[in-house]
Parts: sequence; C-alpha cells; structure tokens
Amino acid sequence: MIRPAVTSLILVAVAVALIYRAGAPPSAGNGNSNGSPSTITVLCAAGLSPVMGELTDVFESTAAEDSSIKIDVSYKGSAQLVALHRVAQSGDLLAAADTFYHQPLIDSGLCSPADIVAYQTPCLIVATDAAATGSIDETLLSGKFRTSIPKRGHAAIGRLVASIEGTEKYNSFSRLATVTRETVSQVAGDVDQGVVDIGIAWNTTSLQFENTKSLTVDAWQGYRSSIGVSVLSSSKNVAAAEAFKEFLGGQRAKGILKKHGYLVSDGPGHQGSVEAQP
Amino acid sequence: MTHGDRNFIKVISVVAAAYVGLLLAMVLANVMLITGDLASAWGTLARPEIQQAILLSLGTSLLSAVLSIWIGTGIAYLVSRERFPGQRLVDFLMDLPIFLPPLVIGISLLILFRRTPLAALDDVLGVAFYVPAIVLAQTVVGVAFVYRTMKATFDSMSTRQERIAQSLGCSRFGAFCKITLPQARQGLVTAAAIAWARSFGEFGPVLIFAGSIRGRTEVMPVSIYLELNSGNLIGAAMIALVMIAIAAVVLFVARAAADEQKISQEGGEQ
Amino acid sequence: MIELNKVNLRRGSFHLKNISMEIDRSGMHLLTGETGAGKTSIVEAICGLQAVESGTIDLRGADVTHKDPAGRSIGYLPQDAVLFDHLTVRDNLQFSCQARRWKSLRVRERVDSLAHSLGLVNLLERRTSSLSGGQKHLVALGRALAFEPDIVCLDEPFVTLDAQTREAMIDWFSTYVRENELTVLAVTHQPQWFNATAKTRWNIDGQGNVAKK
Repeated sequence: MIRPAVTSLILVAVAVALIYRAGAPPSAGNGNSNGSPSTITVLCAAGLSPVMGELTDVFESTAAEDSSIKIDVSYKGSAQLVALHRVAQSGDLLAAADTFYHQPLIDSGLCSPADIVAYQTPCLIVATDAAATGSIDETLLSGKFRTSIPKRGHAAIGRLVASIEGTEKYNSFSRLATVTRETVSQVAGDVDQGVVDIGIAWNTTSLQFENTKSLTVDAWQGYRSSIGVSVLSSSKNVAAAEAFKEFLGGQRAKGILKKHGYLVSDGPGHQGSVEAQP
Repeated sequence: MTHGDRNFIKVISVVAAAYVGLLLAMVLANVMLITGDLASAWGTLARPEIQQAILLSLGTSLLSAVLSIWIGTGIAYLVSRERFPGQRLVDFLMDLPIFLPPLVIGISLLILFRRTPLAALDDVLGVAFYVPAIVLAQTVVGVAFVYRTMKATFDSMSTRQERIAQSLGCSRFGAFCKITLPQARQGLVTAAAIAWARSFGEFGPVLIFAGSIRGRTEVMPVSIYLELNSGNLIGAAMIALVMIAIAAVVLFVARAAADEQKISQEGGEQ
Repeated sequence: MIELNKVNLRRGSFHLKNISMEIDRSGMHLLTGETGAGKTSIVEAICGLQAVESGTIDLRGADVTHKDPAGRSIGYLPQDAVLFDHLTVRDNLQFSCQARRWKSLRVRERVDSLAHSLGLVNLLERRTSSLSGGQKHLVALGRALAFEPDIVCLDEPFVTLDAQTREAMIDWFSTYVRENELTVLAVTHQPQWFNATAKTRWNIDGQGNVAKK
C-alpha cells in the first residue's frame, strides 16, 4: 500500500505542478501584472471568438493599464450560452450573436439591457474560387449545389434568414440541404473544407475562413443582426464589467470590429434585431 | 486448420485490416492537411493559450486518472467482495457515466453545483468554470471506467488467496494490499490507461461544466473546438496530432509497464 | 485444544449438522471420510475461513467462533496449496512472520531453517508459479509452519509428493510435531501413512456424522 500511495502522491504533485504551470499565463505583452488583477468572465458567442480575442488582448494591454482587469472569455453557441447561464448564473458580461438572445435573460432580470456594439449582415458563403451562382432559389432550391444550412432554432443567422424568406421556404432550404448545422462556424467550415459548395453565413464569417468568400444577396440587403453587450446580474465585479463594456462601445473597439468586417454605426440602429420585418 | 477455419481467419483479417486502415487513414488525413500549411500549424502550437492548454490537459488528465484509480478500485473491491443491500443499484449507477451522453454529465454537474444549495459552496470554492470543474468532470467518467475494469479483475480473482493470507495473520486490509492489489496489477495498469485516455479526451462535460474559457479552462479538446469555431481547421488538426502523439507515448508506457509485470511474473521458468 | 460443539455450517447447498469433536492433547490427529463428506469444510471452519451458522468452536480453551482467521493463529495447509504466485518462495515462507512483525533476523533464521528441512534452499528466490506440484506443496507446508503456530491444520498433506520424498517428509514432520508439542489435525485419505504417530482418528460418514474411531 505504501508504494502505490507514494507513487500516487508523486503523480498528483506532478499533475498539480503542470496545472499550476498552465494557470500562470505566459506574459503576452502585459507587464503590469503586479498585484492581483480583477478577472471578469465574458460569455461570448463562439462565432465572435477571433474579434473578441483581439478586443480582450487590446483591452488588457492598454485600456486597463491602471485598473489591471483580466478578461476570461467563455465561448459557446449563443443559444447554449443563454440556456446554460440560466443554470449557472455566473459570469460578468454577455455578448451573444444577436440581442434577440439577450431578451429572455433581460426579461427575467438576469442581465441588463444590451448595448449594441456592432452589426453583421447575412449573405451566402462560397469557396474563394467559386463563380457567381445566381438567385437564392437557383442556388438553394435547385438541388444543383451541395449546401450547408444553419438551423433556424440554433443559429442567429438561421432565425434572421428564415424571417426574411419565410419559415416555409427556409424549411425547404433545410430539407434540400446536404447538411444542417447549429452554428455559423460549422457552416463556414463545411464550405472551407469543400464539403459543400454553398452555405448561409454572416458577412464577417468568410473573413475567418481562408478558403471562403461572401456573396451578398439582393433580397437580404438591409437586414442585419445586432451584437450587443449586457452586464449580467451575477457579476461580482460590476465596475470592471462596465469598464470593458464601455471599451467595447468606444472608438478603439470600433476600429477592431471594422477590421473583422463588422458594421459599426454611431447613430441609433436602423433595423434593430433579427425580429424586425421589412 | 480446416478449410472453414482458414476462411474464418480470412474474414476477420479483412475486417481488422479495414478498420485499422481506417484509423490510420484518419490520422494520415490530419497529417496531410497540416503539411499543406506547416507554417500556420506551427503557428497555432506556438500560441501561449495552446501551450497552456497542453499543460493543463496533461495535468488535469493525470490528476483525474490518479483519483479515478483510487476511487474506482475501492468501489470495485467493495462490490466484488461484499454483499450489501443496494449492491445492484450501486453496480447500475456505476454505469451511468458510461452510457449517458457526456453532455448530460456536464449539465448535471452544472445544475448540481449552481442550482442547488451547493451553489453557496461553489461561490466560495470556485469549482464550476474553473480547473477543479475539469478534474471533476473527467474523474466522474474516469471512475466508472476504472470500476468496470477493476470489478472484472477482482471478480476473476479467487478470494482464496486473500482468505489464506488472513489465516496467516493478515488483516483484511493487509491481505488487500499484499495479495489482491499486486495480483490485480495488470488490471490496474489497464484501468489507469483507460481512465487517463478518457480524461485526456473528455470534451462534452468539460465544455458545459468548466466552460470553454480561453486560457483558464481550455484543455486540448476545447482548443480544437475553439480553433474550429474561428475557422482554424489546420490549427485544430495540429492540436489533434499533438494529442495523438501524447496519447501514443502515455499508452506505450502503460503497455510496457503491463508487459514488464507479465514477464516478471512468468520469469524463472524451468 | 480444539473443540467443536454442535457446529452447523453451510456452503451453498452443502450442509453439515451438529458436528462435535474434541481434540484435547497435542500430537497428530486424523480426520478421514469419503470425498465430499465435508472434511475440508470442518477444517476451514476451525481456521475461520468458513462461516459457522450455529454452534461454537473453542481453541486453547477460548471461544473463537466469531474471531477472524488472523486471530486464531492456526497454521493452515490448503489442499490446493494456494501459494501467492506473485511472490518468491522466500516471500511465501516469511509471509506470516512479516504479518506478525517479527524482527528481520528472526524471520531470516526461521525461513532458512524451514527451507533446509523441506529441501527448498535452492528455490528460495524463485517465483512459486514456476514450481512443480510437489515443491508447491512443501512451500505451502513451510508457510503454514513458519510463524511457529501451536495448532496446525493440514488438508491432504504429502499427497502430491513422490514416495521417497513423502517418507522423508512424514518422518521429519512427525519429529517436528513431537519436539514442538504441536496439535495437528490432518485431513487424509491415507491414514496408514500416519499409523506410527496418530493419537486419534475421526471419521465423517456420508450422512455427515463425525465419530471417533
């Protein structure tokens, strides 16, 4: 018993050392980590991960120089984020793919009204070398192309496009699809890997996937989803959460968002959320 | 060998070759993909959060495997050797983590730690969405696999040696340590290897219960998920290959440990 | 020394009723009977390896019915040897001494002397899985005697040995029993091997009745 016990203790020590070593974030340009920085957690739509990664890096290294706030980001699909937050009720900020997802949490007092920070527009996503394809009916209903369609109930993009084209027609898209997906990233991945010819995604998505490009759809012009940020009522560090939210609405953040293809506007939103009908 | 026997061997050989070939092809497909763009593959590995994820994966899976072995072996011994009310129920419950979808494990843990009076404790300890949540999620599943392996091992071992050891002056505990455990070593090595491998690759429960928080609860399977979400397929494939490499080393060592035991037990043959 | 009072025991569907026997002096005592009559069950009940449903077992004048096997200090030689195959011959021989936390020098002396008597000196560092049936039997006998118990139960002793070795071993064992005033209960089908030394002989018939012969 002594030998297995000793072996186990040694292994546990090694494991704890590894975890500890991993937990110490390698200094990636933040030389101001003296003292204990307050950490806030952002629940963020997985599709936003590239831009959110850059936003947090910039915030941590510059904007928060004095207050030294550290941002942790938990990435999941928006619907999942919200559903799990009802259970977990922990975290400081919510940034879903559309303010639509914030609404139930706002209604039940779990988060503050969303401040809209950016918009994205629906479009078709195709391989970089694909030729022009034609109308929506020709591409998605003809059966000539392999398609990847985001699920209406799972992905914000699915909701939006279904509200434009009508539920019945969207169901036809799904029925004729090679595959239907829960997230826009999965759709883009399908196109990127050449599994399908065409998919429905955001204008920002193709920028993340090297082998893809966006095709705007005339009928979808003027529609967009609004990405908002809410402070969660579970936040134990509201000041820090507000600081990051403020940063996300600021000029510096707008520049970064634009670079990633998001639309930012200073005036009041035109179309609002995905629920808006033309 | 009769004609029928030869055909039997032929058929299973073909099936085996097809399956093994498929596995190999899957690995090679990853390799092919990353060789197309080695620079970005290496670039992914060079990122600090990915290196953190590798360390965190190694640490948590090792810790979970050790915990799983102790807990699972204990329960297996109890159920295998003792008769007590509710024994069948225990035996059934130990299968839950095996047949339940991993997501359910994660959700159940999350509900338990956040929507019950345990939440007050969790607020203080910080389990959910922190490293302990990873270890807990991995261990819950790991224990079940250790239990299955060790129960089969103990069941196949006669209790007679233990009893004789007791008649020679050992306590029950002494007999367990000196007789049962050493003879179950093959099973222990197998159980440890399975527990570790499961923990290392655990994704669903970790995603839900520990969150997929970059640089905090990001283990390698979560890294793959996050890389896929941001369109970095090559990076995801690269991380997968690193996982394969790590697992190959660990499982090779475990196999070697098991074989060494076998040889030393069979050693000294006349 | 060994006393069974109306002992009832059950092993699966096998049932022994109202077994009473009394062995009141040291020396060799035999237990004979047909195969399947329950000889091994009786011996294992005495050693504490078989639960008793009712009745009492006394050892050295004290009731041990509910004592665990370790507390009974009986050297037991099982019929099938049941050696610890992951250990060497030496480890097997010294197992009971180490369980009693003897000093290492005393353990070594005891093991060496037993190994010498039993002809196991050259096998001490071997794993028991590589031994022949006869060798295993001798190791199991040595293991049962190692901690110098005053009561020993043997199940079919010396059966797996060749005739020549058997004669020598019975000879040595008889002397050992006499010199150390051991109380031995031996289950056997060959009572004639022990004619010279046996003090009493108990027989169990097909109905499970035990009687002194």
